[in-house]
Amino acid sequence: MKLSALHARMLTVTIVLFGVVATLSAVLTMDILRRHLTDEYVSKGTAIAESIAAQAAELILTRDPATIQAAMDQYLQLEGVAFVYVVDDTGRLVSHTFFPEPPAEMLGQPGDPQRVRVAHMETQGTGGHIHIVAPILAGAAGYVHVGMDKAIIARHLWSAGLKHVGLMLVVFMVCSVVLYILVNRISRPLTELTGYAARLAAKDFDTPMEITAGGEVGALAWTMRFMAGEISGLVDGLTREVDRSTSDLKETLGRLRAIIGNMADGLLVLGEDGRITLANPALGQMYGLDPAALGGQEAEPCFGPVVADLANQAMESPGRAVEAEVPLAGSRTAKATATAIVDQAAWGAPEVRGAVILLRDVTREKEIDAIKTDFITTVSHELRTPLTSVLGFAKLIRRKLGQEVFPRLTDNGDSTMKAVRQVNTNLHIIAAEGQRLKCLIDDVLDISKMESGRVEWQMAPLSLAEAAAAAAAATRPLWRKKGLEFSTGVSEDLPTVLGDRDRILQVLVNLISNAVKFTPSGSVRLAAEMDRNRVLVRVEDSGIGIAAEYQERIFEKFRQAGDTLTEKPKGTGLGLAICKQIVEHHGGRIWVRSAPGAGSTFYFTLPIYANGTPETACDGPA
Amino acid sequence: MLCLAMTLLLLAGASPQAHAAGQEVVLGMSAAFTGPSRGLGIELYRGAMAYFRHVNDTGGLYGRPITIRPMDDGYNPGPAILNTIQLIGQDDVLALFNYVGTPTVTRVLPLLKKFEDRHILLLFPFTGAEPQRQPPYDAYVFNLRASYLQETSALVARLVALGRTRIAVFYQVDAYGRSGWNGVQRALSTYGLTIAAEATYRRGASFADSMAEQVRIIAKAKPDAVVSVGSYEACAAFVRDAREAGLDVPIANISFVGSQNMLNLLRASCESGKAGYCAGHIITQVVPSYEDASLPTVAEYRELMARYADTPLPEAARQEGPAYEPLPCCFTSFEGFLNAKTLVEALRAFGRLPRREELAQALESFTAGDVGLGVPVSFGPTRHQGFDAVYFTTLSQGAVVPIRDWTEWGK
Repeated sequence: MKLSALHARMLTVTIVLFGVVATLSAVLTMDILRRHLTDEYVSKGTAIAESIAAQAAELILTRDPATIQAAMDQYLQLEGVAFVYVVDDTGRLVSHTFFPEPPAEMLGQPGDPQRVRVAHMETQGTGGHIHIVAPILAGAAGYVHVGMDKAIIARHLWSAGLKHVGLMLVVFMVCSVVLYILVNRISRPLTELTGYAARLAAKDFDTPMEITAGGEVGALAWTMRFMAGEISGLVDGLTREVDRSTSDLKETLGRLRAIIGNMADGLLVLGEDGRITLANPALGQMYGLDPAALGGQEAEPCFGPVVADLANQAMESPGRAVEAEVPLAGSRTAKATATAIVDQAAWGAPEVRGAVILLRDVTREKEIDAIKTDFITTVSHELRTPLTSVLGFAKLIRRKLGQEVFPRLTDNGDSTMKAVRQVNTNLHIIAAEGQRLKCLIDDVLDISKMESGRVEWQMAPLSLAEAAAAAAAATRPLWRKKGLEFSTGVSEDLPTVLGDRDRILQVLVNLISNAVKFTPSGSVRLAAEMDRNRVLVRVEDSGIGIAAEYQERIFEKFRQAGDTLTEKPKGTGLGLAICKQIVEHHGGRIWVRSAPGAGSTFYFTLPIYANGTPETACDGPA
Repeated sequence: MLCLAMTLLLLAGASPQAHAAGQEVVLGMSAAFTGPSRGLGIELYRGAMAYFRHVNDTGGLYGRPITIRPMDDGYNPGPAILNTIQLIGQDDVLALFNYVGTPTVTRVLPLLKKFEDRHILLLFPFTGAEPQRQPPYDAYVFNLRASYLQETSALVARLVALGRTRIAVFYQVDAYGRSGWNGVQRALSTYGLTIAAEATYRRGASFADSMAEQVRIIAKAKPDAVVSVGSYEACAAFVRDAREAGLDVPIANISFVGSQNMLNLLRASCESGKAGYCAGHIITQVVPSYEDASLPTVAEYRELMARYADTPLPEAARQEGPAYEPLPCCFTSFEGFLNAKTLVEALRAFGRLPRREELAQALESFTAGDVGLGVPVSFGPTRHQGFDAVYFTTLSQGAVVPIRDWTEWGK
């Protein structure tokens, strides 16, 4: 029969416990018994010795050893008495019970006339004896010697010990049987419960369990059955819930898939590793590819390096949309906007899971833009020639009138002088407005040239400190006139940059003029410093500032902060667009930081000129 | 249980019973009917019963049959005491008779004093020990035989006369052995001698037991003679082992040994060539040799033993196996016979059957009785031993015979 773990454990504990108890109690019992028996034997031997001594007194004197012997024989039959002998006052043996002869080592025990002497003798092979000597008539008649056999004590001890152990064994067996039955009573329902629990684990909630046990195990069984019912109900509810959620999810997913499938724009989703995870049909159409076959492929071979770079940039700067123009199949162009997919975890830093790129076909818009630019350029060009003539003649007229005509007019009345002043004023207005119009046209032509790449760039190593000083000198009248403080902070040891000096100067002047223009009072500061491997130039003012919604727009063409319809324009609206074109051509970036009423700071970067080749521009801070 | 039995017996005994005519005269006998000494008890019983049956067949004692109520004590004091109490309690028991052994008799003696008011006497115990010959118990005991002291004294005197002065003692380590030992010691001291060597054995040893160790102890002292005080089985074993060990000095035994029983044990070896086993024996006897046809009693004894050989053995002896082979004649049964005859003669001399309390008076007045031993048996108020003679016998040609010539026994 195989014992269960519970049985085995109980049995082991019982055996160990009983072993310890049996051994301890047997040892204790034997020790107590040994002392008691020894004491008993000593007192028994003493009693015998004294008794014989009392009887022997007269008999020794009447020389009747046979009667002494009779008395001794009587005691010899008592248990434990090994020998008795009587010696007279001269030490001569009068009577003894030894056979075949009195052993020499047992004689010769001296006696004490005053009292009974007890000695424990150890003799080889016999287990020793207790030697008791009692005086007869205070030793005057001799001594009685009684030997009590210690071997009998030992025999008694062993017999008692064995009986004890035997009793313990019987008790142990009875206990084992009782324990076995008891443990069985606990163990069997437990085994049944285990089987039931295993069935529950296998999601079999239907097989019933019969509860036979009472007490704690019974309570456990009832609880388990109740729990099984609860779990069964819970699982059913959960299954229904999951089914419903799944169908909802499927529906939502289907709708999303339909939306994505029907989008006019191309949608490309890349994973962290840059592989395609999703591409919608519109995208496939743009590139003439089958969207279904794209999953898991590298983005670059399919969509070209620009898209791949864009995705990388987006993933490197999550939270910011990165845009680029992307060539499509059939010499079309798309505007691609990439954003990183950020998994905002419940804790820890957000993790980038990939990138989403939305492509919009802007071929048409570009064409229209080009037509528009060409139109404006043409118009401007056509306007510029007559305007130059108009402006030239207006200025000529004003000079001639001022030099030749007006001085000759006699002061014959207020009306003449008044007319003269009026003509003068009007001529000034014509010249000023003509000049402004010319500037505007120049700017428009300038920017169209840049956009169409028709500008010739005079690239050469350039010192920013020198450029800054020139810009300061050029703008001095402006800030002097308004009474503003102007300062420059360009360190002499800044490395040289590669650039077109006039164009860079144009950017600086433009920015300073703008700053002066929008700063009623206070200061303007031009500064340049090293920022990593590029030069960062900034123009700060303490002016009116720019609202956040305009900060991106002001770099677009014909855009100024504020409402251009209701407010009088303060410039051509092309200055910053030109700056942007120039900076970007140099491989830098331009941006602004400002808040209304707190002034504005315009930044731009230029790559350092090193070993004759400009380094690739890095993106500035967002 | 025992107490209850005793009480009942005593109560039964308390009711006086007249000795009606025809009623048996009963003698109580506690003796060894089982164990290694059973030969003594049985032969003593048989010898006494042979004479009693003869008396009964010839008209009885004053017209009443006389018999023995035997009880077995196996030569052990305990049962002897119990038997004695039982016997004393029975009113029809006239006296205790034919007890066997020193250790048993010496322990029974105090009972006689205890039941003094019942006037119980112990008659002719088969022991030569001193206690029943000495105060205070001599008053309650009548002996027929000589004492061990007398036997050993005569034996030592004889050995010394033969020039054998280095005398060793082999004895049973109990009161009997001690009294023999004491007798030898005392007798030797009158010659200024001491015991040359001594060895003991335990009561109950049988012929099968080895006595080699005792022989070794005694042989070491190179004795001129060995006095052996023991039962016939142990003494026979000692003789066997002594002769085997080459100790060929005379080995003397005293009457208690039961010469015939010892002879029977040794005879088989003697006849199978080990002659030494049967040589060099001296056995003292307290009764004449049953071979001595010159004595009229011997003739009567032999005739009655032959006639009443069918006397049933006591109950205990019949039950114990192996079955005891009764001896046709021997010193023990002869002593039993003489005990019985002495008692009957003494009671007849009294003129009527005495009551218990008159028994001592009856015996004490038997002062010069003739039981056919050639010498008178004489009791008296201060003499409770009827016979003092000691006889020397030896084993010769399968028989116990008197030693008439000592010339060969010299040193």
